[in-house]
Amino acid sequence: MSSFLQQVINGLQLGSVYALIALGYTLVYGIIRLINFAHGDVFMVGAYLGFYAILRFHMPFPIALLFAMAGAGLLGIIIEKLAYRPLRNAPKIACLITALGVSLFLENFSSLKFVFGPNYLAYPRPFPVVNFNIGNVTISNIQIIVFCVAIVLMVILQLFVSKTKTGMAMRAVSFDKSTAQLMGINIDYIISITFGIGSALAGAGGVLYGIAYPQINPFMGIMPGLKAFVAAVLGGIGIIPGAMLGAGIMGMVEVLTSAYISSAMRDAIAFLVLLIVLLVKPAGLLGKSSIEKV
Amino acid sequence: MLKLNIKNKISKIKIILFCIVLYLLLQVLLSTGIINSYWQQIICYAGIMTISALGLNLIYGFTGQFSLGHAAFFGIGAYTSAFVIKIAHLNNTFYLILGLIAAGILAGLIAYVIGLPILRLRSDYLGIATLGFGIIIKVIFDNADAILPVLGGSRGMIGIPKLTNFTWVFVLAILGIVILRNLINSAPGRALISVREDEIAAEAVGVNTTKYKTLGFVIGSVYAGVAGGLYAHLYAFLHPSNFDFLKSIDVLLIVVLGGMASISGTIFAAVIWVFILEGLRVVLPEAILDWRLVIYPLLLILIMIFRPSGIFGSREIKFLAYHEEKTK
Amino acid sequence: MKTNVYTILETKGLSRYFGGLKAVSNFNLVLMPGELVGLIGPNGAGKTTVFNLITGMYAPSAGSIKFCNDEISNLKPHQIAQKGVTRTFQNIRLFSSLSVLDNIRIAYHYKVNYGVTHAIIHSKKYQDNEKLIKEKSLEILDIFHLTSRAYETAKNLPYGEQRRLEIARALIGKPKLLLLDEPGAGMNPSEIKNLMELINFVHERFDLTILLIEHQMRVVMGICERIAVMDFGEIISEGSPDEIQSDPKVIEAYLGKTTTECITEQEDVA
Repeated sequence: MSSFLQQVINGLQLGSVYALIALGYTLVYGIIRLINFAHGDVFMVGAYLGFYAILRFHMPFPIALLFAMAGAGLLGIIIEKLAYRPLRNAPKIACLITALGVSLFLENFSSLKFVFGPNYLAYPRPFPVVNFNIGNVTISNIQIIVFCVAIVLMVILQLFVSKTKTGMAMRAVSFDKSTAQLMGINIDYIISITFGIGSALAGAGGVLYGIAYPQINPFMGIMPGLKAFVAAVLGGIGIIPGAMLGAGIMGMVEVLTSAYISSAMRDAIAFLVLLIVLLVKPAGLLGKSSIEKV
Repeated sequence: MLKLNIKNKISKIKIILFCIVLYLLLQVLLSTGIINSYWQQIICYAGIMTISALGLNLIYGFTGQFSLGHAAFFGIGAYTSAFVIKIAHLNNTFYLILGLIAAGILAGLIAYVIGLPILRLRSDYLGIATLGFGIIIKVIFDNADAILPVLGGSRGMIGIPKLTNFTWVFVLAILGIVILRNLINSAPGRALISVREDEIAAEAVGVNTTKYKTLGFVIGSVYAGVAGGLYAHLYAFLHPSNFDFLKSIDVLLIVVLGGMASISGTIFAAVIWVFILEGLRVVLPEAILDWRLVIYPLLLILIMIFRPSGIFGSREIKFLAYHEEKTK
Repeated sequence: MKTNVYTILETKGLSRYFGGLKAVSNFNLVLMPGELVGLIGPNGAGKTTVFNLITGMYAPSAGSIKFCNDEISNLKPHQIAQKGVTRTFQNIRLFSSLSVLDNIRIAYHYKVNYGVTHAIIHSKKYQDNEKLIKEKSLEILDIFHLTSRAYETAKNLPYGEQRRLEIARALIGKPKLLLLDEPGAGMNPSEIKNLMELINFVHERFDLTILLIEHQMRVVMGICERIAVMDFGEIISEGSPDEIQSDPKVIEAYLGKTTTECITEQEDVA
């Protein structure tokens, strides 16, 4: 029983990281209907920025986190401006393929020796690890921090989207781009902001991931990126609480599978979940299915 | 009208002659060693990628089904053929046909089974579903040695007889091109294309869109399976990482770059892609080698921004386009 | 020889709900062979939903649909089309990047006598059938004066010709029932006149039953023998053009209650 509870806690930690990435996917898909394949690599860059912030510049953890978020957010905005905006009116497949291209580029460019290098790097722990034993369950301060930071960021996001003018504009654009434009909303600006926020969250996720699972490499974003995407679909793509719910479930499922079935099946189970969701309820757990009007 | 018939016949003869001459020319160069064994492999690989890409073009370019799992079927074909040939201890290049038939059949069967539930999905969802399927398959490959030790699992499969040669690849590539071209210019072929154009309208005029989506998907996957079989017996070593979703993206890029629904475009793009990516491996100095993988996606992005319809758009070179008899 | 008197179309209690919204409710309509019936009603009345139900795009929430005495409400759209019910769409749905000829040929594909195997090897069967398809397709293009456009890309055609092509495509399979969804949308008065002639011509030439949704009153009143009026998912009136024109329920549906009261008040005063 304690082992199960322990796995649940581990699952929450993983789920927290996935949630931060998943939110970026869901925000971007909600606003321009694009599966941003490069998102997982922005997560990776965020992890590296945190790495250098802590190791090279000796920033305290909160500052390093903000630094990584800012850097990742900026990267997201730049990618949107250079690679996706020109294709705003092109067939969707062109955008998808460009996203794939950006992803490959980020991975391989980062692998170059003068950038991040291809090797695994050990993530610095900016504070000592403390373990709390509650009953026969062990929670580390790392897990608490990861979980709390994620929650705080998600709450801030939810408040931002529902209470601020910009947040309202974001929701308007995701409903109906052309009408929002007619209402005087600057579409380009809103889309940039969306990418910025989503990418910043992914950047935060990257730092937290690095702290929790202390090895990073340029290709580390591929799997978490895909799994976070599955999480967003599972919860209902385009729906913010959905991304959080989906990520929580994905984290849990993955950790439990690894513990009770086999570690090798970890990745497969994530996509099995995806297939089941798509076939049973493609709109996701919190989604509403839309019927195409003829 | 008679004139056009004769024109068609002459065209056909021209094409056949062209193919024979091309084959003989290359075969001579290969046999006499003027083209060394490294480039020999590259040429074969180009043919293999052509076949695989033609399959994806059928699925995506013609039938409009966005599949990101093509490499999985390529892998299924590869492992199947390798397994069959190795188990049966076949060493004569002629027996490759058995492996390839097994490869094609299994790939097609699995495509049929997975297609039944999946092809109902809308385009971007179909993409991720096939992506997910591909990842599951790769995990299966990684762990296959638990059931069939000869498949090697994550250590890779070794000791596969090298049965693929230029003749096999050339003949099958030509066959693949002809079959696709003929299929497209027929009633079932047009039904496939109508699914891509407008599913709702297609159903409204009597096209069983489910049947044709499945047809395109299965045939395209058979192409992938056969290509995979040729691949297995070319490099004689299989590793699950050769069949991950990055490889699916590679084939997709070829199809898009060449021009979707253009057979000539696919052939052209596949050959160019292989030669630039693989061939350059020898030519480029060590230091710049890694830049290959940086420039390639950059080029991709640029092409998508400036010429998303691909190199050929949807045009065909004269040989492959169907000469429509234009009656007044 | 015994002549079977049967209805072409018979819906009983046909209903379709989307969540709490009653898009179509208890829709009962009978079409006899050869009729030209209009279906009108204010926007959102559920007319296109009725079409979508008949053609199998939506499954009914309740009720039945019989075509020539066969129940079709459980069939897939392509099966219904093959049985002989075809339609056009409010927003023209052609296979836009394909040629005009291909658009027609695709609609004929299920009548063809060869499959994939013959297609791949371009056998004699394939060649003969292809010749036949082409002949039949060119024939119908000729009837609709589109022969000169046969090899052009469908999306390059002017709007009126695209409409004609869509109708031609719906007819090559020799259907028994044709559903036209606002064929006059976006047309100017002279095009409307041509459209009315076209529909009458098609009605006669192809020995069809036609159900027509249209907002242009000139078209409906001009060519329909019988008209059904829908509002809020139900039929509120049915009859000849004159009958429904003077039906107060119809006037109310289109003009609203207060306006109707105004009109009746004015009449009292006058």
